Amino acid sequence: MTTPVRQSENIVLDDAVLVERCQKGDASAMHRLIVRYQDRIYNVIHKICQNRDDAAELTQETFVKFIENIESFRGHSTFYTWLFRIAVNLTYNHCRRRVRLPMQSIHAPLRPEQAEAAGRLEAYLAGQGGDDPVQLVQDREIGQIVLRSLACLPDDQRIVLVLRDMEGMTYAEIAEALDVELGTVKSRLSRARAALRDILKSVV
Amino acid sequence: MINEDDKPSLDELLSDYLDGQLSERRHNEIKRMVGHDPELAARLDALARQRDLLQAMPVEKAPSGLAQDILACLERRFILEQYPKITRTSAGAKQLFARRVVTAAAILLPIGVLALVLWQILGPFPLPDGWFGGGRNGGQGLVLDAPAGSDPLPVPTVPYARFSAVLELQTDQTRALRGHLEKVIFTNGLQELCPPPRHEGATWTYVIRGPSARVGALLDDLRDAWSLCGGANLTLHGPEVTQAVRIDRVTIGQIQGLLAQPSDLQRLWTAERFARLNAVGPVFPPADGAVEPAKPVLAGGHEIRDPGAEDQVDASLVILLKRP
Repeated sequence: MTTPVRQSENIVLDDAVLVERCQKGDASAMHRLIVRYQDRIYNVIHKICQNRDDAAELTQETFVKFIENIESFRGHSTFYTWLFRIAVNLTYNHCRRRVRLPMQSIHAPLRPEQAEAAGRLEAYLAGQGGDDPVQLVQDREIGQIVLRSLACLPDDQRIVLVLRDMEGMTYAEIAEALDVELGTVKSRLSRARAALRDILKSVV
Repeated sequence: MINEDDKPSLDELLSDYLDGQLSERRHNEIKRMVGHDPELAARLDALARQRDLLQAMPVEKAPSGLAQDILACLERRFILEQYPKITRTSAGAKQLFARRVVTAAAILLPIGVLALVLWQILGPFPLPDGWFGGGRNGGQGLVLDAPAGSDPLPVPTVPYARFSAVLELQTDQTRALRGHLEKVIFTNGLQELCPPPRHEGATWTYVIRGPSARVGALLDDLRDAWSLCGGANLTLHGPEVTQAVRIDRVTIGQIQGLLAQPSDLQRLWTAERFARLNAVGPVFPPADGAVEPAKPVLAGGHEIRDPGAEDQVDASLVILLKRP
């Protein structure tokens, strides 16, 4: 089994120092925190809302809110989860206003290159292909199928799945970021995985 | 075999197992079950592959310049916060309010000007100095129907009384008129209240102060000498220095009528009527039974005087005897 790549443990201390400097109005500390987290925040938001422009705007809004509210950050949670809570809340509100991708759109007839990619993906998920997942998702078509399948999940399930399997957050961090119980995270995650499995099966 | 009823909980267990979230006992239990159940093992493998696939998805990089955009956005917001009142809404409200005020002023101003003009034409008194182009007499006060180019209004040199006026009598028989005037002053018992007359050039000045009744009686007594005068005009002064009405060709009866008015406002109003009336045609010198405007009868009842009012010094009449 693969353990999600974690980066947060190594930078908690640095974050605390930078946050403290931010609270004193140090612009360079703000800049460093933005640069440190902008890609991760953008990636998570993009995976959830699946629109580059929206993701860029929401990322910007996330950091603006972080700086505006840095005074109120008391360190009860890590800066990392606090920042992601802002991002997820903004994205979740954005998703609620947006029209969801209709389920049938994913079942539209596939073009030949898409059909070929779907075949490779099906073989991989069935354990019949020896493809390395990293190599597999380099195929743009496969990446698109995965993202579109993800988009068909309910918002709360998609968010948990993205935070866990793509961002690599622990259950506790997800619970803190979403302000829900740990059991809720577990049930949402298992339902999300099962639903995605069914969607992918139906697509490929 | 997997019981379908257990699927939800089993999915959750497999998901937790995959993420290492189970207790050691549960973990070993699932591990044993997976080892003995190929279908369960396949489901777990599919979940693991799906998870690995998601983890392998390429990380999207934030657009370049995002940090600068964020700082620029913060700067804009900071600037806007410095001027919280210049929001679109409040600025619009202010402009709207200003437009409404200007519109109201544009409507009210002509109406006000028109009202002032009408008041000036039709009202009982012209407006005081400074209200409307500085007054007709160039700021000297309220002068109605005074002949153009006439002398400035005489101002009494005594303190203002309830009735305060300057009577100018043109006569070429100064000596006879003086004699008559001094006689009626004495007969009406006003000599103690009046200072000696002053003589400057061709003008004799008599300052007569006393109760209205006695001054009225003095005027009555002057009727006999009125024929000695070539002309008479009266300048009635109000409580304000700028309030004055000049009545040309004034008659004794008119002066007594003014004396009888109970208030300054009514006295000035009546004086203005006399001034207009006299301006229409020659009234002076009045013969007996000449046109005499009736004494104004004021609506609202009779004047109530206190018992001591008879002796109250409330009238001041300056009489100027001038050679024509």
